[in-house]
Amino acid sequence: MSSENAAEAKFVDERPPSLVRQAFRLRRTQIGAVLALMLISVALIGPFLAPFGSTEYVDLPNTLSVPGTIFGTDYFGQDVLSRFLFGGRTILILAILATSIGITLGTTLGLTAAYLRGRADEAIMRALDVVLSFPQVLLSLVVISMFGPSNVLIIFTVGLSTTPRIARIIRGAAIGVVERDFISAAEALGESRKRVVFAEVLPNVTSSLLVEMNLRLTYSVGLIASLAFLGFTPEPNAANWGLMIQENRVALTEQPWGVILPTTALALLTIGTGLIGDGFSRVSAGIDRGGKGE
Amino acid sequence: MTLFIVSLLIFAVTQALPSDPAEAMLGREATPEALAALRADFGLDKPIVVQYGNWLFGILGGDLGTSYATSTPVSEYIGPRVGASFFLLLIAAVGSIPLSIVVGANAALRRDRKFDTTSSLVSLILAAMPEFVVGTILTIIFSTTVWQLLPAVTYLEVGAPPWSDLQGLILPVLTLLLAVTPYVARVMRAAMVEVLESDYVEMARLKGMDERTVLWRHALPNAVGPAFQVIALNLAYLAGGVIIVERLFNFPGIGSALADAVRSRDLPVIQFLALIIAGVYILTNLLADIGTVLVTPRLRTRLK
Amino acid sequence: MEQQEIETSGLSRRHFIQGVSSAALAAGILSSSSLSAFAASAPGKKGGTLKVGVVGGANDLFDANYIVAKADQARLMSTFETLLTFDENFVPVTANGLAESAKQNSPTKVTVKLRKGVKFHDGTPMTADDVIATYKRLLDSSKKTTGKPLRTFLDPSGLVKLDDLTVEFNLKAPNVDFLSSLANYTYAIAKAGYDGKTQIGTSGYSLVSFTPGRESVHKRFNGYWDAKNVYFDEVRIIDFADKTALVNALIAKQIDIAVDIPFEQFKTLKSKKYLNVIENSAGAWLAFCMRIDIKPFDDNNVRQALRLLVDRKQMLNRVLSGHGKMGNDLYGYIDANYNANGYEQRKQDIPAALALLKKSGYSKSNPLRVELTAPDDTGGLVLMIQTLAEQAKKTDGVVIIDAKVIDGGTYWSAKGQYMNTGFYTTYWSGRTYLAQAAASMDSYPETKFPPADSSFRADYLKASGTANAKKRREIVAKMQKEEFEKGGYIIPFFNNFADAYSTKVKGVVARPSQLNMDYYAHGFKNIWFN
Repeated sequence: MSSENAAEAKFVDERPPSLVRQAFRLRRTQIGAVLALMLISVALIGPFLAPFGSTEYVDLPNTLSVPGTIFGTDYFGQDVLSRFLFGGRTILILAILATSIGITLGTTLGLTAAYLRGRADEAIMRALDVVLSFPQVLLSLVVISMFGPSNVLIIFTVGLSTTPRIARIIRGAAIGVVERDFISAAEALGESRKRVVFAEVLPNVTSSLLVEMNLRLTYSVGLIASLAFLGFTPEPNAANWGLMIQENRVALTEQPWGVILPTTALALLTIGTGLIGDGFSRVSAGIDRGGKGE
Repeated sequence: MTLFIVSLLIFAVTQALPSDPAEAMLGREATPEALAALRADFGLDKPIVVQYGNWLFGILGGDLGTSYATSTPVSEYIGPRVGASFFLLLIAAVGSIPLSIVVGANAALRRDRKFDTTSSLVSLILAAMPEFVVGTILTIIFSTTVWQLLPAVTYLEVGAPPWSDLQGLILPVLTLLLAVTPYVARVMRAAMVEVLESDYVEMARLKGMDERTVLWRHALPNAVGPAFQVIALNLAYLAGGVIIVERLFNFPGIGSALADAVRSRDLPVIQFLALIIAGVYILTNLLADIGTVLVTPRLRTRLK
Repeated sequence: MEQQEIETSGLSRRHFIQGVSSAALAAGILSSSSLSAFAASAPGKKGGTLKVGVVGGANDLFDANYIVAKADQARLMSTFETLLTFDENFVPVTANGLAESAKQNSPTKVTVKLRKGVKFHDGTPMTADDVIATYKRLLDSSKKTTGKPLRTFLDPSGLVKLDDLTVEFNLKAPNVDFLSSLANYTYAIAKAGYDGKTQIGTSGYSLVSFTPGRESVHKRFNGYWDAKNVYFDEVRIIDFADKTALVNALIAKQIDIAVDIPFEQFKTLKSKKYLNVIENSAGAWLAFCMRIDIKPFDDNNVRQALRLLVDRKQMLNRVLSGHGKMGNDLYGYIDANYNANGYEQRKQDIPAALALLKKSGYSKSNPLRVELTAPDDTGGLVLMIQTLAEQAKKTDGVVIIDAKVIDGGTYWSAKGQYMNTGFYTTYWSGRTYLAQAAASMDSYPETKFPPADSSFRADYLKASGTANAKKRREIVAKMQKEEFEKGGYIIPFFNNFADAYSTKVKGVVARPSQLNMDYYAHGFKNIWFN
């Protein structure tokens, strides 16, 4: 390895930590982190604090004033608060897993396509187009009605239906990066393709990636809830914020809490992760500029 | 070519649906004779390859088959719905694209100022809520509980054009707008920020150009490039979103027909709708790709 | 005289339900009803377009003799009419029907005289030939109709035209309650040669257009035999995919009637000054079915234990928010002979259930683990299986119920869970006891009850042919005893249903009825806009 190469590599390696550190210096990132952590702890600790079981019958459905409860009962006579406390874990796990699948596959494919260009690019993107040309809801809907709804299937369908979307965004962002001089420089220095893609190109698309990741997480939650809305539920009556909104939607005018609590939780969570994503994208935009190797 | 693969895929996937459509149709009243008759009626007794061939050539020849559920030709059942959904999508798209570009660009320009913070907060909240929640809330506010100003559902008489109930379109369009705009606006903002900090914008500034020219002549075109991809993606997203929105507002379009068809295993309808949606999507994408090349100065030069 | 006894049987049913003991009321079977007299004495304003919202989709059916969903019922009722109809006590009457009179001459012979001047929507007169053609269609097993239960009693050869307006039904097996069959709303009279495609009926509104999944348009038929009671110029039956959208449309005043509203919205709708809500309890029921020929349900201890496991009160509250009545594993709530043995309400009794299960060798170490399924297209059933699975937890692991929701298409299909597995769910509208017994035995053998060595079927035929009300009740009591002790149904409750409509709509009658909106106002007649 030549000395210039070492210098370049060192420069690359320094980026991630400084990005995180810089990002967390921003107020918005801090607020975002606090919000996200808060909701994640509700999801994790909630089940231990719940006054009733997640499927326990408490009183007549959709009753607001039930002794022993704060928010009354839901569509099925269960304690709204307990359902809420139980409901974070499942949806978070489902959405996070689905998004991770989508992000991993999508980023890899998007970067590869952008970097290889030419025929490989064409082949990858066309293959993804086929998947992409079905709206996510349709794709999930058809697959779920094929195999019957299950959590694993939801994770995979949602994840896979997200993949081409992420791949396109990443490719779009990476194509510009690939054009830049420092990539040709790295290539000229004989870095392996893998290394060029993941160490040189990837850090330069982090802003798009982070924005995308956070959005996809939100949309995955929404998609899971929307499938329930259309009547495709993995486990009916499972305590799950997404389903909770759907289940209690009909009685919204009589028992608003069953919708307000999970919606607020999901909104706060998304705002939290959104602010973090924002922080990252701001900071990385700056780094991108500095990192052009001028 | 892509469309052909899509057609093959659609056919394969729909064939894998678990229940026999003939059985699903007859339900409780199914007798073996009735089942056999119905299967023969629909050509379900023929080999799969033959079924695929019949279907593909049927479509190419303008014969879309017969809907299992309604027992009417698919073209007759779906035809009017395609127009209605297109109209809904068109208004939503036409509204959302400029809106998100303006919001995104403005937010980028006024980074960290009030407009930026507010718009990003609002868009975060909106993005956090699935369309059916946004739609439900809008309905409660504008038509059922708080004020009774707007129709809660779209009511189109059969045969009437989609613009015959403009009032009834307000809430569905608004829901779609609110679902899509935050996303495009955020990407737009990110792209814009990146461009505004790039050297050529700085260069332009150093050259003493006034801020307005810099923004509209140099920054925006470069930022719109990546946004094109997003807009294309969002047209597809809208196409998915209509499934939800149409159901919510009882809008007689292809989205509600599709959800319905999946439930009733109405293969000819599912296949045709999937093909239309896929076709439209592929076309938008192609346009977006061309658009990106045309508006991004760097890529444009390479083209020459 | 036997005919006298039949009327007495009708009377005793009235006795049971309302305690009315006037012989004049019993005669109501054969005379014109008090209801149309009421409508005539309070004439409403003519005109307007009535918009009726109902849950429906591309699966919508239109047929005089076959329905699946409420949307289909609404359309059938607005286009076709039956020979007789039911009054609020489920006694067959001629009001709103096509028969001028109907007489059961003997347990095997019924004579129906048709109204004069009844015309089909195409202007042709309705005659005995049309009635015979309709019943032949119902008896034809190659046609998709709800006529199966008729086939036990009637052959096409038994249908005889006495003159243009008189039809004789000669039964092959005695059935003293045959007049009730003539009031079955899916036995509606269509024009001879009816193929299920061209909808030409005799009602007050003729069909203009029908678009499955969207709407049907019906126009006032000027040649209608009861024209004075038809008020609207036009009726539109509009499909909604989603119940919430249906209710929203009513609240936003876009429709005038919302058929079958969810109980979640009951209070909200009731609180609106411009809306009326009517709730109807007419013996519709939801049930768990246990196939008595499939393990482990072939063991009566298991069946009885599961029946004792159900907390019916809680189930009624959870699933229907209390809008219904508790059930006792017996059907035919609207029948005078419902629970003829006067059994006490079954309650949850875990120790008794466990004792029964212990007899059959089930314990914590050898638990009774069963799968219970429900279709996703019928809301109450999904909640029911979840409730039962939850209640089974009280056995501390001796009974484990795996509740599984299956997509409706698969569930109801010929090879689906419905009727093919040991433990699943079903729903029925209100019927008299014997009619339901026939439907559950022959049309839809859901539990495969009765077993081969049972006298249940013989008792059924005997009861059907017994005119004496007291003797009949005795036989029915025996049948019910067998079902109560060994049957395969768990009937936790009878469900109410409710409709909401704008106060603009006048003349709506709230009384027990099998169908929503009092049989959809018998095809949206007898009601008018303010």
